[in-house]
Amino acid sequence: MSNNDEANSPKHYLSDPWSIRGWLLTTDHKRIAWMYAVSITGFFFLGGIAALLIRLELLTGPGDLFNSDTYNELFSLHGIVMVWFFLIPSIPATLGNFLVPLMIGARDLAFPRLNLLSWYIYTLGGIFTLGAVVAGGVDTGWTFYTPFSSLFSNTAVIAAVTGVFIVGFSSILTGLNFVVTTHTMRARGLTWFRLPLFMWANYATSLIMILATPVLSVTLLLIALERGLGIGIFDPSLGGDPLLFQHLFWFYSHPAVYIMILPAMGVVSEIVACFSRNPVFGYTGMVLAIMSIALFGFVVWGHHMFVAGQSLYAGLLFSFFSFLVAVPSAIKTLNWTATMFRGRVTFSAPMIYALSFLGLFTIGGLTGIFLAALALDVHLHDTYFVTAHFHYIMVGGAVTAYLGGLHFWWPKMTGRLYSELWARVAALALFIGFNLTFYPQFLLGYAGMPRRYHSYPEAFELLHILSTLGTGILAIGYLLPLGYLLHSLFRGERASANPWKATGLEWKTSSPPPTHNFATTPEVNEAAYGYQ
Amino acid sequence: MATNDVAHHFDNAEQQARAVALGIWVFLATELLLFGGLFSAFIVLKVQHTEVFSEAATHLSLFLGTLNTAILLTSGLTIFLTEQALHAQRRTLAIGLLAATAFLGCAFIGVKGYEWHHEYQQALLPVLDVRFHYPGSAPEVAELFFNFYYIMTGLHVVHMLVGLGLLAGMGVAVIRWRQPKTLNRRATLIALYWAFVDIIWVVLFSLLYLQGA
Amino acid sequence: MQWRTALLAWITLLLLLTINVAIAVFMSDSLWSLIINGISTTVMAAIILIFFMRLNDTTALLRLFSLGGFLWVGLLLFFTLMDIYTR
Repeated sequence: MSNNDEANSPKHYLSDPWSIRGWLLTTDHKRIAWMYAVSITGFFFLGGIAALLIRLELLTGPGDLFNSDTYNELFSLHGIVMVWFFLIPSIPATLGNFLVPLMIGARDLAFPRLNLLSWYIYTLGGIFTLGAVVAGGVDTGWTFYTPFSSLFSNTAVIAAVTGVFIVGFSSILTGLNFVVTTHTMRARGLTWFRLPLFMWANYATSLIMILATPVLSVTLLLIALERGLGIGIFDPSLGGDPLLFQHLFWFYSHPAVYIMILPAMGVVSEIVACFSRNPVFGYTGMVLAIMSIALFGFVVWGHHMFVAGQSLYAGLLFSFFSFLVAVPSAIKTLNWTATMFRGRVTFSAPMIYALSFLGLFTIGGLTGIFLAALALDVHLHDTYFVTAHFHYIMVGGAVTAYLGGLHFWWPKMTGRLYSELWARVAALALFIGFNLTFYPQFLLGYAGMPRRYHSYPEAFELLHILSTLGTGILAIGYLLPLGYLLHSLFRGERASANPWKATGLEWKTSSPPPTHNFATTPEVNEAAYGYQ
Repeated sequence: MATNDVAHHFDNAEQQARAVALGIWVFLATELLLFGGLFSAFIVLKVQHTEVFSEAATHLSLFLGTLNTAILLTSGLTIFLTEQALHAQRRTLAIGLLAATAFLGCAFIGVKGYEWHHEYQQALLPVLDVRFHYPGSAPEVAELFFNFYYIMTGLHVVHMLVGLGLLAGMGVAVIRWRQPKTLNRRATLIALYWAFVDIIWVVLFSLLYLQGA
Repeated sequence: MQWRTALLAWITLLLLLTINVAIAVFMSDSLWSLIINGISTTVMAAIILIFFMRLNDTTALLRLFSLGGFLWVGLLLFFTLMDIYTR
């Protein structure tokens, strides 16, 4: 249409147009990704401060820093913020939002306005949750178990539940958008089995989001009604069933673990392939593994309820399926290793993050098998062993991969390079700090230290001190990127379109990309990962 | 003229139509799981209190429930025919059918409101100053049944009200008759939503009214 | 063409509703009434899906997604009931 000087000036999405209105009312998926990135970073550090305070309290045996009520509110705040306001949206809503249209050669997601709406819903949910904190906090833990949350807790449960209820709809909208976009907007020639694994991972995650999140919404609604009006659904004295809550809750919240880890696996696949200069080993197997993890993730929820009063037969079946999930997870881990084995590996910062993921995820996954075993779980349930296990998956796995992905696609998102030296230092600090923080917790849990207590006997002191020391190093690992990435945003060296010499459509457009992503609509005629 | 209603990020109208169709079905799947959580909770409690729940169900009006089901099924027919009429570009017929659908929808809500009012008078609806009073056995478990009944039918009526709002917007658009070619696409979406709300009611009717009549 | 199918679907729905109510009134509290109610409710939902929501005239993908929702509610119900019945 218009062929004037507009074509000559390199107009990219960040500067087109730079105004408050241009950002807050944008429907550009790349800008919405940034809005999510800023929000979740805020929540990450809020949850992180709570974690730091928890670790400070646990530095010494007696509960001297906080009383037990405040401690309960701290770990609840930590859990609620980290799970629902950081981990669930982390990779899909930021990297996914940015990359899904780019990777399939589309100009935007299928429903750009819904995408913007999802960020506003997320923000509204965040405000409610912060309101709950201001109103005196919540002490139920992130799981809101009944009957404690519905009958006994004297804290702002309804406000917190409302916040989580609202934020659920933002992930439903993200999921809906990704599913429709992946199905209908792929570039010419980009068949399903030519998609990068990051796309498959986000597609599977989106399916989980749309199928599981509504059940959580209605469950939280029932909690609010039970607490506000005493409807009795989870109250045994009125004929209700408290375990019913756990069934409904974990029907969402176990698959939610895969909402967190599947996109992380997608990120790691991209990074490992690029820095090994090698196609991902066993691409089809990887795809099948992703899809079967998403499917099996729906039939294992009862392993959270082994000692809660669930029937033994149900326990057996859920235990069996939980063991089965280990199979596709192992396939993925071995395939990443095989990809490196046949490749030429360079240890750039994103690769260090990816390798950290591999190690930490393996430990987290293997200890998951311990917990899936019925008899062993009786001993380990509700101990620090469980805490350590899921932190290895969610923090060691998901957060590490998120940081890796952020570094990997940073030049694409900003058009700038970051300091490679500082990035490597941060990645190493993260790996060392993380292990020092959480490995002692396996030992603590195995020795019998229960979760969610603010004081403990002297015998556990050494391991707790080590864990708190690790938190300090881990904090450096998280604060450093905040510093050098912000610096790079304004002062960083300009990045070329493809600084890593990576494959994939997102690297075929300029850095940062123009508003409509591609100058000419791309066509694909080869499989993913054409590394030589 | 055909291209100006295609959003900029789609290649063509056909791609946009596919995306919208998939979008609405995915949305309906999430709605189904929203209700599905409630259905499952209800069934789980019902198998634990079969007799009390069956007895409590006899306090609902089977006649009014059946009437409402018939009303809603008929409105499912009229909205389907509305879509067909718009497809054939028959404006007057479409307006008539749309009005009939809206009327049936309002009738459903009217009957539902009458039912609730009746239960309120019998002290089965514990709102305002009324305490739940139940003549049968195990009143606290029966109250659980009624709580489920109000939550599920209430959530359903909320969906009906949304549907009526969509119908009203559609009615205005049909009366104006601008860009009639795009009207039947919009009608298809509304018809899908309306039919979905029908299905939810059919299941609710079976769960709540039929068990123990 | 479509009109005739739609009318037939509507009549069938009303018939099934009649059967449902009749069974509930005359055969209440028997296992058979539960089974027949279950089947006829499922058929009613299927008729609405196939004829009013046009699954008879659409792509395999949309059919898959429409069934997926029901399947997943089934998963939730099946595993929860399994726990309840074996407790």
